[in-house]
Amino acid sequence: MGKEKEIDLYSSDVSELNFTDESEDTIKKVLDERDYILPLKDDREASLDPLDKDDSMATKEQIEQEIPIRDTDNDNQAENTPDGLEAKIPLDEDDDNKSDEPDLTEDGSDPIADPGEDDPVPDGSVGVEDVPAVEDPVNPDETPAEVAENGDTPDAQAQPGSNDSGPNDQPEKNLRDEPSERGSSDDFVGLDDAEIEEKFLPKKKVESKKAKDIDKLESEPANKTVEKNKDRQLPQVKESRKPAAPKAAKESEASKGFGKLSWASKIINVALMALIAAGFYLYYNPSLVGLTKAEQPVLPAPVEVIEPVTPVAQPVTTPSVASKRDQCIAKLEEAVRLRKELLEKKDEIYELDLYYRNGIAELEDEIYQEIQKSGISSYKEAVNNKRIELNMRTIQRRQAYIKELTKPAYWLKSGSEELFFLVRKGQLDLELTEIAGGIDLNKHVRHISAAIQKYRPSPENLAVDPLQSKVQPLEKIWEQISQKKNTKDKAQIALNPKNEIIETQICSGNLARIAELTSISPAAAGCLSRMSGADLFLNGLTTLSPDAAKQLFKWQGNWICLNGVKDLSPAAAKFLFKWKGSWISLNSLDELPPELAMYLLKWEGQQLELMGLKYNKNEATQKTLKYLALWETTGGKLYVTDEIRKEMERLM
Amino acid sequence: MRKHLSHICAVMIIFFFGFGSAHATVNKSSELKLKMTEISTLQQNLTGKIAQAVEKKDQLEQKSHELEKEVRDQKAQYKIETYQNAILNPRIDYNLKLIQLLLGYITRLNDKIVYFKNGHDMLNFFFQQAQDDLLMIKTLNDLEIDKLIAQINEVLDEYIPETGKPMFDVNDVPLKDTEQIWNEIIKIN
Repeated sequence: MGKEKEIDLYSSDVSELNFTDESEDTIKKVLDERDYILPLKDDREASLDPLDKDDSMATKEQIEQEIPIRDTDNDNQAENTPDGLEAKIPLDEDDDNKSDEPDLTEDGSDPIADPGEDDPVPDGSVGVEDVPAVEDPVNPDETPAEVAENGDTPDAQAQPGSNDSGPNDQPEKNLRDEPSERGSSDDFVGLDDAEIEEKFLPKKKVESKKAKDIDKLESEPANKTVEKNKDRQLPQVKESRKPAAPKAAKESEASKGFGKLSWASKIINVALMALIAAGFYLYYNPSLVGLTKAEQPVLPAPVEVIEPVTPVAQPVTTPSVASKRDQCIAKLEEAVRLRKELLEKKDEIYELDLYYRNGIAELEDEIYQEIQKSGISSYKEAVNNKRIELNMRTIQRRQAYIKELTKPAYWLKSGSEELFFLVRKGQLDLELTEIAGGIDLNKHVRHISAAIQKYRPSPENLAVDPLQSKVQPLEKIWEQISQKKNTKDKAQIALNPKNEIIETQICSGNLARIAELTSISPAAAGCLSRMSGADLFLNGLTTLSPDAAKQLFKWQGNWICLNGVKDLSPAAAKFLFKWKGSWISLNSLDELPPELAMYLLKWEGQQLELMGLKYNKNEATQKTLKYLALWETTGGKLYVTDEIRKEMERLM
Repeated sequence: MRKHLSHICAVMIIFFFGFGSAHATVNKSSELKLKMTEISTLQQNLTGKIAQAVEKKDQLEQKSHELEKEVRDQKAQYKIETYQNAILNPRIDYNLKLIQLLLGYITRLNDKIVYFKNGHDMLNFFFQQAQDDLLMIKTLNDLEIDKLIAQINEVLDEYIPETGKPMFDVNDVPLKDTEQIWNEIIKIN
């Protein structure tokens, strides 16, 4: 604004055109402007309001006191008067400037010496060093208050003829009030000049000599014009120097100017506040000006947008491609589950079969004992014995059950095998879908579905009817029992001579020949069970009857060796694995049927030796190995061959 | 004036043919380079396909061996000696069918591997020829390459579609007789 005003000012006067083309000091411009502005303004104001004449005169007085130093310099430069030379020197040299200070303080009110004054430069040297402070008076952005502090009047920024005298008058008031309070306006004028000189000096130092010459030459016309104005204002200044200027008029003018300034400043302040408020509002609502920055803090919005999209995309994209494969995989998994179910059912049937067979073996033993007790030798006698007859009928029924169980067992096996085949085939084709064509996964699904439907275990599919099955006649059962009895009797008779002697010795307390026993009677076993000691070696025994086993395993020892036993009946095994000892050696057993191994799970002992056990690739052996492995998991230690051990590890 | 015109025409003709010749040389070189790039790309695809087929074939052979072992175990467990008895055992019967299928797949994969390897070798041959011709063109500024381009295109047209197709059709595999398979299995035992 200040520059624009300056341009307008220069353009209005032909004599000032030369200044616009020059890069002269802006402070000098300000001083020049004041030379032109104030007289014009004062002239117009004087013509309009006679009451303000004195005040304007007072202002002129101040300005003349400020400006004449400069003007005098210019005039002196132009006229080469001795006074002019004296006035010019202080602007260029600090020493001279200091020499002027006494002139300013001659009135006895030196503001520089007073630390309580507004002048921040108590010392002239400090003012010289403060170069930015010198440039402030010409800074268009500087506030009026700053300008006032710098001791410069804002008149230089005012356009000639402008009615807005507020900014111009406020500093004047400040300038006028302080001296008036001290009772001398001349003191104020002197202070203002000193400040100007102090602040202008550094700038002058910076200027080159050539620039000074150019300024001098170019300022001549302007100085001439100023001189004319000064000549016109001279009487007024002389009058204003008189202390007759009414103080009340000054204050009214000052308050008037201040009122105008406050009104304008209010408008500016309100406008600035409104601008700031609008800025804040737009910052937080940028959508009003088409921006979307304000939506960033609203984070849930994109989440809400994404969430509904993904569920929609999933059902649309995936099913067409993955459905066949997934459906096939799901069907395969269903088939695997069903096969597992079938195998579990098959195991249950096997265990039931085993239970019946063990029961038959026990019943046969009971019949055998009854025969020996009653001396029965023919079928008719046996049938007449109610106990033998009922046992034989139980055997007959159980045999029928066992026979009937083969049907669901076979059905379950067929189902599991077919399902296994279909699953393997389906998996194979699934693996080849990447590289092979013509794979119909639907066909697999159909086949597996049919197999699942067919082999779903149901009471109908697993139904048995033992009553309808062809039962074995009781007479045939009697014959089988008789054959077994004769076999056992022959074996006992063959060993009797030696074993009887040893058994007699055992019961009499002589245990020297117990290792020679090949068979043992229940009575002798009872005698042995009462012996003391931790170990019992009966490695000569090849067979062990259930009754003998029942008596023998009442022995309270730690280790029993039965390494000669090659065949063990389930009944004997049942008593064996109820023994309270901790170590059993059965190293001659080359086969341990699952029905025997089942009893092992109930044994609370710690070590079992089965080094003679042989591995056969059959289902029974697999089951036995599973039982053995299971027993080992309960904390027992099993001694078997490496081959058996590997198979057990493979199974587990 | 007339003489001047004739000179201009002669210069233009020379320039035209000279430029045309140079342009043709550049075209042939770039065409050969393009074909070499296509050959390289197809060779990479074929190599990938061969590797995939070999990997899958190994997997199928492993499965086949496992099934054969299972058949032998069943034979030993149930003391099966003849094929007629063997097919009465569901596990042996199903395993023989699976082995039959696997052998068919393996046969087709082997065929495809050989086919892809042949293509790869042929492409390699044409690539080398293209390289040689390219050097010849650079040296002599010209060489007949239409025949080579046609041969390359023929191979490319044959093998590029094959890389996008399935390697074989599961419905079109040779099925070996299960009795023959059984006999081969028990021979090993």
